[in-house]
Amino acid sequence: MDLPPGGFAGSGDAESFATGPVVGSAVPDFELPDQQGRPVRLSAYRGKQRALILFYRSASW
Amino acid sequence: MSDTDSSVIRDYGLLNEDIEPDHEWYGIPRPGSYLVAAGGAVADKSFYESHQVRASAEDMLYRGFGVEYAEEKATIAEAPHLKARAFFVGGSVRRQQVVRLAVELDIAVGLHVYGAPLPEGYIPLEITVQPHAALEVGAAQYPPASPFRFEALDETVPAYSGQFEVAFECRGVGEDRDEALEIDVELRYQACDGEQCFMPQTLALKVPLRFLPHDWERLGE
Repeated sequence: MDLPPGGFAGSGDAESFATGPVVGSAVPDFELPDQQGRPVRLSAYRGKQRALILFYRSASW
Repeated sequence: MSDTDSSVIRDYGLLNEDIEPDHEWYGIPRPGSYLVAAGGAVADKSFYESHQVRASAEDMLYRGFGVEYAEEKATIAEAPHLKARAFFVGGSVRRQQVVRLAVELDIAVGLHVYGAPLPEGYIPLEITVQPHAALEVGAAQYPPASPFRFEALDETVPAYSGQFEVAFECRGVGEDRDEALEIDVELRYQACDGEQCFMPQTLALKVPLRFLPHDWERLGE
């Protein structure tokens, strides 16, 4: 079944505050430590599968 | 992953500048997420202005990866000319959490219902969610309708047929609570085939939703 348009619940490209790269544009690459301190680079996953990148204040809330 | 100096947050342009530089929370991002295609481009994104608002994990998995939701918490109803299935993705919500209300429709073969805008005299599909003190409900998100040509009337109107979904973005509001809710949803439509239209119908659904409290013991104050 096709899902409705508009993608995620939320603002998408909001006008009232910045939300980073627009839909269709490339996301900046980065390398950050995971919960075990091991470096993880986003570009290592490019071409393999989709990814979900979450930006939150903390992993707890 | 940990972005303790907020370098990635800044690189993405997500620094929450409503927080003063001398505040302990300075450096946090606007809360949200990107769905990134395998090629590295943004396929979809969702962000909120308030640092307190979150989409549920179930919602993100449903929208981004098509993870199916358990059947047993859905409300299913049959009306003349269509079947409706409504559920909250994940079945629960917490205060300031965003959850999707999905209303799946299956129009009987050979029939269609109408989208909008329409000429006078046509009745469009309209789905409404009744107000509830524990839930803030956004506008209905209808999929694009397809043009349907009435040769006899020399009119082309937007219409839906087959299976499709109408969604609502909802947010848990008010105080923390542990409560089973029932959210009232109403469908209004008129089904037609190529030659005739049937009487307009109204279908009422009660969709279950569990309002859960935050786990303050695990999260801390």
